[in-house]
Amino acid sequence: MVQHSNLTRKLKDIRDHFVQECRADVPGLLAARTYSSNLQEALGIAFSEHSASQEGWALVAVGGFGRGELSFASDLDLLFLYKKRLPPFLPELVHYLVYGLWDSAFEVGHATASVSMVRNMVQNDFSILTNYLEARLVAGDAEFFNDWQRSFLKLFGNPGRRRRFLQSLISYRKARLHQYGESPYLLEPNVKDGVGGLRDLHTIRWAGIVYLHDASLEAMVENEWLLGIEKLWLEQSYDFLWRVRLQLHQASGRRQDRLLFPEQEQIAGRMGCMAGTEGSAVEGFMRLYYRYTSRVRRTTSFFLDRVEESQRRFRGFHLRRRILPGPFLLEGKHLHFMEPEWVKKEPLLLMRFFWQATRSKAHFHHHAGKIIRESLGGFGERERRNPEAINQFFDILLDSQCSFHVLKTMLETAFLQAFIPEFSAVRYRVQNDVYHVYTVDEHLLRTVRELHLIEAGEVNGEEPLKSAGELIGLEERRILYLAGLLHDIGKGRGKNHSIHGAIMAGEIAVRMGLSDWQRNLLCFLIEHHLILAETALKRDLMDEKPVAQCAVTIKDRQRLLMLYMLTVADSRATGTEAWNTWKASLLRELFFKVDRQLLRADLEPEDTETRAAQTQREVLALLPDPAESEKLSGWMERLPFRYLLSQHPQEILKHYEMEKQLTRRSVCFMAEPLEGEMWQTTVVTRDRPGLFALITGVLWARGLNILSADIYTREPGVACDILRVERIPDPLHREELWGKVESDLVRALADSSYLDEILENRRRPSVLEVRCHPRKDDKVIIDEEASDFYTLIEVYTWDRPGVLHTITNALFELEINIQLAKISTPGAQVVDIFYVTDLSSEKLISVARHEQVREKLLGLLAEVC
Amino acid sequence: MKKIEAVIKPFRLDDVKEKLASLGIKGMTVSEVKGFGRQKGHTEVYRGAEYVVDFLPKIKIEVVVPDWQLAEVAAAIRESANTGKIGDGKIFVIPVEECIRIRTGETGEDAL
Repeated sequence: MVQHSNLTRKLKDIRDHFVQECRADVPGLLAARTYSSNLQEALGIAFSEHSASQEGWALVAVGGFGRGELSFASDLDLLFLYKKRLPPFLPELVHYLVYGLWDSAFEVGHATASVSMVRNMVQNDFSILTNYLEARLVAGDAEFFNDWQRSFLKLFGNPGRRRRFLQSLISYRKARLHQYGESPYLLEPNVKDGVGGLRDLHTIRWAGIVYLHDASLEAMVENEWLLGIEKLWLEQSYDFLWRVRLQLHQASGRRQDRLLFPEQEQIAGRMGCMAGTEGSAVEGFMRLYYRYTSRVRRTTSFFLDRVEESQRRFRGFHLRRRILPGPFLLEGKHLHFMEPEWVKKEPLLLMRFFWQATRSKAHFHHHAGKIIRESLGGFGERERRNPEAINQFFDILLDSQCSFHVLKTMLETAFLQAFIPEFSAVRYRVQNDVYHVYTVDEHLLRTVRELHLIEAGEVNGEEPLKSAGELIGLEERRILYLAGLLHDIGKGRGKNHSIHGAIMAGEIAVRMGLSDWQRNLLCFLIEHHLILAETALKRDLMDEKPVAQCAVTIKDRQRLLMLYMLTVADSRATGTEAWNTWKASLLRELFFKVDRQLLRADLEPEDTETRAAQTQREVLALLPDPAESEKLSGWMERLPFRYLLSQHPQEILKHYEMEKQLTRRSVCFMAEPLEGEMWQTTVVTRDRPGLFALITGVLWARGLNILSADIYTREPGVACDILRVERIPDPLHREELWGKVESDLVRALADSSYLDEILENRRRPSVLEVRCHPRKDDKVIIDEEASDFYTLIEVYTWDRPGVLHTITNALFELEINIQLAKISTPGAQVVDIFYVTDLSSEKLISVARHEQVREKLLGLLAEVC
Repeated sequence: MKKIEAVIKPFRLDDVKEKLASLGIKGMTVSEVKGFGRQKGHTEVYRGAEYVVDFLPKIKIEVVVPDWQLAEVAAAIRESANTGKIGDGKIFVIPVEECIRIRTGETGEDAL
């Protein structure tokens, strides 16, 4: 019998030794292989020594163990295989072995099965099939094992079965890429199953075993399924991914294959990445990671293409072949070079090739990439300035169907970088936050795609986007799309990437031979590509000043429209978190305001007195009971200007009715649905110090997310606070929710301890929230310039429970009145903008006061966690 | 360690089970139960209808996980049991003081 305490000790020693190694060093694939073979050897010796007979059974390592690559945290997949009848001594042996492994804290996946049972299992389950493809003998009957392996591979004996296997393999990979290609997985990728992860490399091995009975990359190169350079890439990536994976397991202390933010930082340090020109150490590391994984992903796709092609039943028979000028060969849907050597002599053929692919809506032949890469050297300054190539480039860029995938191939084959050398600086560039989902290069291509989607009317059917496409001339469209492709080109050159980008774009424009006005337009779009988003999210749009500033900068309506399209495309291409109905409606509002100003041509603001009087007349006209009109006019006399100018007459009347009810109750509350999932809540009550902090506290305690707030106080001391909120916790029972909010408000106003109580309940952190995001330093900016009547306090911090309540409460304690608030939470970052005055409704002005506010806020934010 | 008790719609069990298996949880207990929530066992409520409390058949899943795995497992159950309709069920999380494997006497997370 196996002395399982001995065996256990031995296995544990091997594992502990490996853990130690990973702690001291950063080993890769070789270490994973050594560990696996050490385990195999120890198991084999112990098992053979104690089994009565060696005949008719085998202990087989499968899965990762069978592949011979293990992490110390990996499962050990074992198969106890027997011929037909279970040898009588085997069950006991299995018990001892498996229990022994369990007791030394190995994760074991094991099966005991006969040859025919195994055949049934693998026919019903593709993942078991791939698991058993890579098997190796640990102990038992070697001849029996070899026979079994041969018969196993005979399952793919005829071409039809092999084809079916390939189809399953391709669709299995597709499903995997679909699942792991979603945005959270891009920021925190899975080393094993993620896009371009170890699984892709396994996929290649499996195909090799089935087709060539050989999993080595050399065999694939021999068979022309891989190029020499691709083999090199795969080998490097294989080792890199294993180094990352071992460090990941070491850092997390368990089999965690997802590269989460906290571990990214640790591993970046372990792998020797340093902060520098690539940004922070993490950003440098992740850039490296994406470079490797995107190579793996790409090569695996090409590989599968090639295998598929080589297996086609009648090769080259039913494919339609056409020769296109170049000359290029269109084979089925795949475009290829007819005379690859010609490209070296005539590098302009490269651009023509991509142009032709766009025109014939073709895919790229898997050998084309190699030819392109090898000919890039010939594509120099003269070719970059060639007018025909430039025209073809614009044709590609403006093609609504193909531009994204053709540009992507141009980027992946490094041709785009040859044509626009500035592009190589943003290749794989990462921004380590939750806001930016894609690397910069990917984001730029996606922006172009979004521009096409906008023009196709697929973004939303509303103006001004609906007819945007028709209003822009052909020459302007070229520039707009080029701006889309280049707008972030200045990233990674320090602060103000839009200014760096505009300078770079100017040089590109000269090289492309664009006219002066085109160059100016391009630089303008890139330099100001953030102005609309920044103004819409951070400034009061009722205020004339920021709108006028936009109008002064933008100058004409056509440019405004283009900038607007660029802004929408940019936001949508940033990630799902960056675009929502709230942002869309703010942007649209700003667009129309600026557009109106530009249309009026004079940049003088409208006379506010006339507008206020106009509003008052409209409110009176709406009043159902004329008898009350005198009372209403009197009420309106005491309304603040800002209120009259920003509220609709119907809303004003509604607030009037609400205020009347205050004689009977302490607070009047109303909630109405807005577009999307947003709601507008209105609270009318007697004003008191700290009222706004109280309201934000109650709404937060009920799980609502506040987007913006308008705070109005009317003489004598009635407050009307209008807040837009989102994320109703239970949309099926919203009446219940609003009832609770109202009763909370009543109770909190009556009893100050009640608020603390419900906040305390909510603040108790849920055991479920353990996610951790990359944190940036808190920042408080105080701006006296942006508005004539208010001081602006901008608070940048990271999202955590109750952060808004903390800030509003602090401002209240500082004796600062909040008049208006805009809150946006892009990803995990919070940007809160407050329009404030002191208690006597004056701006803060004094520098000492600014310091005081900044200190207090930063101090408090550091405490909340 | 935490125990997760999830009461879910019976037809979601397979999905939940598969999802949990893919997370590598080491064991679970499933039982058929009956109960009601805030709809009092009515799948739809008619205004003014006199209602009788009905017990609806549900499945209860119990699974004990180490703390680090809790969020992941709870989220997985939520996602796979969610149909967006009334009666999707609830998930309770309960602290577990100790766990003992009977065969070996191991305790704590090792015994899970």
